[in-house]
Amino acid sequence: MLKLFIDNADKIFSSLLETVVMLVISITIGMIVGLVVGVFITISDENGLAPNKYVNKILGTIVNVTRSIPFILLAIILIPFSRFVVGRAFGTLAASVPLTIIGCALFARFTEQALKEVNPNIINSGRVIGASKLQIVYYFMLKEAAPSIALGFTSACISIVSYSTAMGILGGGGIGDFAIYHGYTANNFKLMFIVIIIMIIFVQLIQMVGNIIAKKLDKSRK
Amino acid sequence: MIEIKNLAKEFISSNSRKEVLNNLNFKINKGKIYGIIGPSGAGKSTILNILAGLIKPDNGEVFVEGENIIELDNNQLRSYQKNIGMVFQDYNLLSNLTVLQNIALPLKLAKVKKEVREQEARKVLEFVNLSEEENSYPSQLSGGMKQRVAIARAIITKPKILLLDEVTSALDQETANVIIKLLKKINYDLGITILLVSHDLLTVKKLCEYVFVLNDGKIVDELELTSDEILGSFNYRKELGVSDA
Repeated sequence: MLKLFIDNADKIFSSLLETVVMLVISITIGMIVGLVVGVFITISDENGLAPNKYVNKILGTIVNVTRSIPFILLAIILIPFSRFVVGRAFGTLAASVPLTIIGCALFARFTEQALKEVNPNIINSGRVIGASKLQIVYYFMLKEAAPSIALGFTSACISIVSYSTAMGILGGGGIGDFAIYHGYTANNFKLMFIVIIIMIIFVQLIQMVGNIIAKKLDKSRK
Repeated sequence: MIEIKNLAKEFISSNSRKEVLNNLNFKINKGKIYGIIGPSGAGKSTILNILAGLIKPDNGEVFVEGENIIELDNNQLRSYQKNIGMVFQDYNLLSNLTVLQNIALPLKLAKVKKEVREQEARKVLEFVNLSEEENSYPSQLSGGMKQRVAIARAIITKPKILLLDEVTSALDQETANVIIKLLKKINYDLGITILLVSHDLLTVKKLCEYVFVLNDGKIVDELELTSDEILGSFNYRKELGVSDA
């Protein structure tokens, strides 16, 4: 098994690099957009800081619809959009587009869930001490929910890793595509299992980093 | 100082409509300690939330030092709220900030310099007798300590009025007594007017000078707690169905 790994190390690492490129793009953009969208969904709720049923419904529906479409179909539907954004329909960069879109939806939903766990009275106490809406969002919502957001984002990252394995359909390459193409279809199951072990280690690392960040942010368990 | 006129408020949900306050009237004088008692759901907390500018009534006027706070826009309301301190039953401290950071937060939000706000926070911390806990996190404190931190945070901006929502209800009697003593000190030393709502009659008896009895959204009685005789006849528990202390 080790010999098989060493023989294929070059290809495995270049596939891993493609996965990392797709993940860095989709996770970075997804986190920023998802955080903002999640905050807007939460504060626009009828009991939120700035109720607005139109903003709430529209954003909530976009997030739900995006998450409802089977991911491979979403990637296919988005081919024209990917071509518009990155100038091509296939390749690692093009495959990053649907991953980023699903990433935005996942991060938005996890942000919303974490923010809804914050005690509403804490937000009221912020209002009484004269905090602006922006200050309430930052100090009383995001900071309070930071450990939950970190754990939610970790789960979202792991889901995106999982989605990235399907990106062979858009010629995105990546470690998952390598396992299917060089492992499963080439009847080389040992190679496929090597990749699976690498993926397991990869996901464990993400979970470990997420747990450490969440623990560092959480002072309530001191 | 505070005059409430014809205040009405109802809460509407998808399948019900509940009238919480109905033609409520009362006055509060500067520098005194007032209590509002009544059974759960009588509208006690709603009065505080209206006074704190957290919710608007459906009808009526709330004059605070001559200004009708119901007519204030958002900016005016934030300016008014600088004169208000509010403490809740469940403390509402930020779990990821230290005691000192929690107390200094109102000053931080008002963009006061770090050295000044920390100096002020330490003074208030000393006033509530918690100097040794400045670097602790709320999770490391007892209920009584958390409540003292919440009180310290409420008074750091030197408010004119302190609104207290069931501040001793989650505490044992011994701890409640410490809080009562602290609140009396705040009233006496800092001249802050206090309005407490509670269903804990013992706290009201020990702390307040005047008491409004609220039932079905209306003031049904007013008492001045100045003599033992009145204290002795102060038995609304049974009448209002309030649980025994």
